[in-house]
Amino acid sequence: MVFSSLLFLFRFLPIALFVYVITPKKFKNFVLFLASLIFYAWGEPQYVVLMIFSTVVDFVHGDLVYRCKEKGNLKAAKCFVASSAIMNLGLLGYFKYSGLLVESLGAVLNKDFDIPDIALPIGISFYTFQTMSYTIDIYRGKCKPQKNIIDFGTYVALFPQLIAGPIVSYHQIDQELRERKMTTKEFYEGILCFMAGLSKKVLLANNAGLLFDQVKALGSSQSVVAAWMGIFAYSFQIYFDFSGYSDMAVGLGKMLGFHFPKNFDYPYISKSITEFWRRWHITLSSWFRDYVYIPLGGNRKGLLKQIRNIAIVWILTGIWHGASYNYVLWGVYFGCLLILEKICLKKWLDRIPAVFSHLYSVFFILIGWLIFSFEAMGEGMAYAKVMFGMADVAFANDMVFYLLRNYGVLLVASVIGCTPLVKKWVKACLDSKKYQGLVTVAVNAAIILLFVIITAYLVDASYNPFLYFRF
Amino acid sequence: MKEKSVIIVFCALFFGMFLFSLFPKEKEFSETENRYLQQKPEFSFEKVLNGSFEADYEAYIKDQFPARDRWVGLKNKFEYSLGKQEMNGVYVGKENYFIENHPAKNYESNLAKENIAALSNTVSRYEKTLGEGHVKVMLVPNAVTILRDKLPGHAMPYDQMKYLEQVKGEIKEEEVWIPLYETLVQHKEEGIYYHTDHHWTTLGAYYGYEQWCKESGITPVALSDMEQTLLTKDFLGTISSKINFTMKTDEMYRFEPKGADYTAAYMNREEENTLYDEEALKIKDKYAYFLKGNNGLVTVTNHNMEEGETLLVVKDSYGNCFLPMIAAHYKTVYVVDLRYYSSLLSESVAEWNIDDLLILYNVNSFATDTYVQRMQY
Repeated sequence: MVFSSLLFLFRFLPIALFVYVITPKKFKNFVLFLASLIFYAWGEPQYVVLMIFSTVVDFVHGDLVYRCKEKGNLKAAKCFVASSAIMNLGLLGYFKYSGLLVESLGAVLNKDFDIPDIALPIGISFYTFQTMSYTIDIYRGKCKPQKNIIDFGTYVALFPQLIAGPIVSYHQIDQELRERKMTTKEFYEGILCFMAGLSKKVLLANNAGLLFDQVKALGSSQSVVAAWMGIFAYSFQIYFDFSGYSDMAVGLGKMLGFHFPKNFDYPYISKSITEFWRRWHITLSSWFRDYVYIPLGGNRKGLLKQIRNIAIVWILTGIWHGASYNYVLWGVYFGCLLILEKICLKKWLDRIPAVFSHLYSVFFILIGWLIFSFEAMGEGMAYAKVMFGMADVAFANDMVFYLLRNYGVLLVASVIGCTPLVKKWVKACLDSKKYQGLVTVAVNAAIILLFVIITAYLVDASYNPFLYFRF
Repeated sequence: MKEKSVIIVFCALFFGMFLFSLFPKEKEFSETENRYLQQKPEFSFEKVLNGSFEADYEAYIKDQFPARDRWVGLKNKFEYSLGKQEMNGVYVGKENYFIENHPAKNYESNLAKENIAALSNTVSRYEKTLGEGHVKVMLVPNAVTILRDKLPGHAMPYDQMKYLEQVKGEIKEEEVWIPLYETLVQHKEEGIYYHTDHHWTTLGAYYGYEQWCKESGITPVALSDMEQTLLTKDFLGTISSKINFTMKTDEMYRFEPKGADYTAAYMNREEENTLYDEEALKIKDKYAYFLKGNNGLVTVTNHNMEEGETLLVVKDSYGNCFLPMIAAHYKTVYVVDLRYYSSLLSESVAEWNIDDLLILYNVNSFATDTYVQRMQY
């Protein structure tokens, strides 16, 4: 199930929220666990088994690791950490990468293998990372094992962050799994956060996606300017889609009494790629930092080792995003930029005027999305040629004006939405002591308005007129 | 105060919509979308486990959402007010024209190429059996091509003429081709396409008929000798259904040569003395008035003629309002719509003993309709 659907908003959410609120504290986790399983199983019931398997594996492993450590048997504890990692990565590897692996093997050996057709279980990249973090955190003594499998299952399956993050490490919500409070203030903040995320997804991301699709399909009326507009649109789409989802997750979490970590912090205002990756998908970067980069030695073992570590982390980050070589290339691309910045560029970027370091960042981020958006790298190359005037197309044509007229409002709204301006402004209004009555009316009016428009968009997306008569 | 009011409003909205959409006035068929809607699926564990219950239930919520059509109209009005000129594949053009935009892939697909080959095979086959000059092909450009100057400024839709050039290039027998582009462009200000529907108007069809007469060496019935009947003033067609908001309703006419006397048999049923379905004027899909909507086979007999030739028309719905005009020149017309016709065309032709053949499609449906393939068999 996805958040931006009539099914979630007008069936699942009201029912789940209602039942959750009226349930006594003792059983809240059970209700949440059950709701999350239904949320996950909707449409793909068979894969629930996988998630439960991963849950049980780490529940047992966490306990074993803890007991071995208690007895002072570090070696055994290490073995259990390794076995948990192998099982989780094995699961992820089999379901996500076996197609790519077999295909590549076939290409290398010049043989025609049957490529296994395995559907990717939703959210598997997220929950395997979460369950692994649990066992490792216990090994590191960051937290104690959870005694109740329902509570642990609630952590793994927790529906707000199940399918698109943020990736929450176990120690971050250990406390809240046992004891949490629902307060009026936080419920209210959760609502604002959820509505903001939903608006980003439905009003900005989906429409930006429409523009990118339209540009890709231009064919003979393609032009250099339109291609740049397209890649800008894709950048908006992926940012508002992803950060909108995270906002919804954080908002829902707050309504239920959880505090999830921040996942996006206005990445497009960055002045270097290093800064961009501190602001983009923060929980993923932190995960790789805590569980890969630092264990490998981080920056403590000399520049050469550090470069090696960065390279490993970024190849993994790339491949985590999808089973296709463009994602590997994308990871390597950012790895190289980060290493370059580490060695020399960063010092220079800090000195030049902010406009230029900002332009530099935006340019390389856009090229990154260009690599990211085309799984077929040939198509990506063809698109890049258009962008850089190496294809036989006009620089600009009527189509550019047409697209500007049709998507101008969206593009302007998107640019503003990428900056902290709106949030700052809204916060200033909400916190002002004067005109509280007016502010209350305005914020409620805004929620109603957004609700109506979003519903209209979601209904429209399901609307499918059929020109010809029924058969 | 502020916090509480927001919580109350939020809950009222989401719980309200939940309760409101829980018991919809269930509809079986959507007139605006012209399709059957998903009904409430029956619960069974087996269906839950294979995922079909979930899929059907989600489709059910979408299809039966309260005031569904109005939500769609609201979204499109909202976008239009923000400067968008194209929503759900529809241009909101000048002079209140809603014009359908077809993606380039409609004309660059394999199907579009295969349909050209099918047409070319069909033409060659019947030119051989019926003789030169007895086969005609009429592919009608859509509004997006003819009414270019009514499109929003700077719009650059796919150029259908490129596809038509390909079709012409494939057909070796040049004499079969009925050129329509110049004629239609000449009359583009006269309302030859509906503002709200994807068909040509009856007047547009008349100019098509005139052109056919010219190419066939026949004198057409003059426009003044056509009995022109206004059927309705509030026709809202398929294009306005795609965006669900209204700027203007269309008038719909029927043209028939004065004194015409036709009977028609639909799908080999009993003869009726009308080419029209009066009931259709009461429903949304008013274009179904002509030839009683889409039938696989309609056999039209002209009683003003003792003896005469026989024509076969293979057509899409563009042929429906056109037919009463051309039927004046034949004793019998067989009208075949391949989408609803299950017999082999070549076998039927052998049985009917036809003299002439006309193939009439609008360009978009010709390029995208899989049933076009059937004409060659």
